[in-house]
Amino acid sequence: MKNYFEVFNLPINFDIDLSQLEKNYLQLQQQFHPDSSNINSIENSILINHAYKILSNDLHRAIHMLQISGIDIENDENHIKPTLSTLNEVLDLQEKIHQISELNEILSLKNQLKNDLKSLILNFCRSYEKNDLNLATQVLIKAKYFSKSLQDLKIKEKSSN
Amino acid sequence: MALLQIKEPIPNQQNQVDNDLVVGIDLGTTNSLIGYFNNAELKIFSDEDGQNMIASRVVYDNSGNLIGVGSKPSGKYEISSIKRLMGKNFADLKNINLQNHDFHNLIIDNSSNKEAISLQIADKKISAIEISAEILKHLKKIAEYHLGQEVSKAVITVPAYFDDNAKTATKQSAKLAGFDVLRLINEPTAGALAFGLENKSIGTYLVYDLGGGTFDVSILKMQQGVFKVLGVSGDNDLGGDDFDKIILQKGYKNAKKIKEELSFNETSHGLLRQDFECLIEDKLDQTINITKNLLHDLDIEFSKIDGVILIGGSTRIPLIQKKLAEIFGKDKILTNLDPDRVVAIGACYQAYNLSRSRENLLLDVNPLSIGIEMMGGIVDKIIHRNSTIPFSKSKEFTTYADNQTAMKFHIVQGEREFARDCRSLAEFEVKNIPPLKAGLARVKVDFTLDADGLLIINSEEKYTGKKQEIIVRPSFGLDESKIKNILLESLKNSKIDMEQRLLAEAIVEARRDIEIISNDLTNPEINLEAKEREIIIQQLEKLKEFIEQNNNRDSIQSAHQELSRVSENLILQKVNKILNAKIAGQKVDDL
Repeated sequence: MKNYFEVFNLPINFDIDLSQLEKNYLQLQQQFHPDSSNINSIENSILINHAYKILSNDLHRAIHMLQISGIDIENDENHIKPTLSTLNEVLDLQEKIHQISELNEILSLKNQLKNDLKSLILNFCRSYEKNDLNLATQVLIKAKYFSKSLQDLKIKEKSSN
Repeated sequence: MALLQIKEPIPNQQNQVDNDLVVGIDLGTTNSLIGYFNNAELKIFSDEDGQNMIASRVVYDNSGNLIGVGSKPSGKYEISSIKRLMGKNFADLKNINLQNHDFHNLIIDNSSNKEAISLQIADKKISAIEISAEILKHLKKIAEYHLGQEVSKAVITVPAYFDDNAKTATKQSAKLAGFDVLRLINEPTAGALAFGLENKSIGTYLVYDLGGGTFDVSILKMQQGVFKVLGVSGDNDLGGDDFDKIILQKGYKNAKKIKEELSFNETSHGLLRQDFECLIEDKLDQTINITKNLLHDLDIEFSKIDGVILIGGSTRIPLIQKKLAEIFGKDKILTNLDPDRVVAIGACYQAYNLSRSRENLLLDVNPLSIGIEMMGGIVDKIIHRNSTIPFSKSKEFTTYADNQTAMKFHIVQGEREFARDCRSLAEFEVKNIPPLKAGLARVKVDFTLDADGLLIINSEEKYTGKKQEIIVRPSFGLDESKIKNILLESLKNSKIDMEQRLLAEAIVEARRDIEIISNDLTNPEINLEAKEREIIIQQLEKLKEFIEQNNNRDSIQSAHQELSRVSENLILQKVNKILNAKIAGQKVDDL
């Protein structure tokens, strides 16, 4: 697995300086983007874009940290399954999203979900630091489901506007 | 050429040919512009009538031969707004209202195949791509005239929301016109680039671009040396043309003029501004919703926008500015730009950037998601919209039946859930998969968007390692062989074309001097003897006559030279007048 932190010369750490990341990203693109260089290869530029996309998003950055440790929850074939309690929670959440229709309900659930996601990612960081990769994995799987629900909620918010 | 230099210097006339010269082109639905930036001066070139907004209007005679391009030519077939058909096939048209376009009745029903749309012009079948190429050829001639050399490289702008097919079609048009396209850039991005470079702006800007036929909205982060597009959205079938149609439908003539006048007056030709605003408000609200949704998708709060850049003539409509001011605040709406030219200006800067300086980097995004049709017609999105390009993503697919030896893929572009609601980009098959149990054979497919945002697909069958590159081009465009044919055809005609071009240039140059000298003759400050005046007038008439006959370059040129000769005294007087005027008021020491 490629280490995207290395691309930007950053240590593998959840708490990276996002403005430093952006600065490094733009500097690299100024060097490797096909428009900036005479070398007509786009591979480097693609890698830099991809790495930036992953690292600049909290959830994707966390998932990538696990990948570097050898656990890839993005790949379905690894058969990493959520716990039963996570599944139940996600099903309840889906039910709730399905039922609500008022804009203020949607907005309050959206805020709640955003906060839940934040604390899940904090939990991930703690488990990761303690080297408890099992717990870190479970927390992230749950965060992934919550993030998907948040997307559904955003679509719902748009259509109720 | 002494005459020309008095009025307007033609740069580079005698200089060496510059092979790296790259022009910028705004190929618009209603008007097109071409220009060039040489690091000192940015020029948008004008045609022989002094216009630098060239009507995107192509005229053919009753046997389907080209008469000309621009607002002036007239003929049996006058084609406008051809951009609306770029990259579309017949089946696509059912969703678009083209009733009010001149070309509506000319569209050939080729629903049986997926070819590009063609028009029946007399007994000729001419594709939208070829018609658009005529506009580009015309622009090319204008630039060549002003630059005094051949021009073959260009940066061309396209609507941000153009899909892969429309972008490819634009590139094919350019190829037919003899242009090597260094880059297609998105219109709102070009506008922002022009604004950012001229004002040295830093911050997050929203570009609201309402053109003749398309609406684009784009959000950019501008920093020193880098312009990063954060996201784009839009509607390819919503533009100023639609407002004209609404006015026409209400029984008014001169719709375009009324629309334009209502931006500055409360009433025009009996239509009140407030009534006009009522008529178009639905359309405007659509653009406002698209704008809000984009900010929403990108998680950007309205208050984080440092300025709103307006592009396209329609943004002069006061109601649009009012609605945007309600969202972003009145002080954020930037109205100090020329909305008609800012895109062309951005294209020129980018042309310079790519060919000379490489000082400013533009990081753009893909406007629409790329996906693959799964079982049941559902789309699995591979590359999501608003990903910074170039970008690439791989996906593995497995067989679903035992001993399956082939897999068929259908690539689509769009945000909808079902493939039938998205734009079809390509279909391809991976064959000769070794017969294995279901799920064991795998095919890895790479989806790559290049720096123009055009798609390249590679597949690899993992068991045998057999690779295949899929050219996504023309399920809708012209295929390569047709392009070659058209190019060959144009080569055959190139000798005739060349002669015609030289003739046209001789006429343009002669007309310029006729105008200058005729003006000078009426100038009371210039003293000529009656006889000398008579000779000049005679020669003017003679030259005009040759131009009228319009067929012999030599006679035009020699009459032109003769005119220059007999006018020598007049020119000398004028030059002295100009010099004296310049010197007047200056101290001798300053000279």
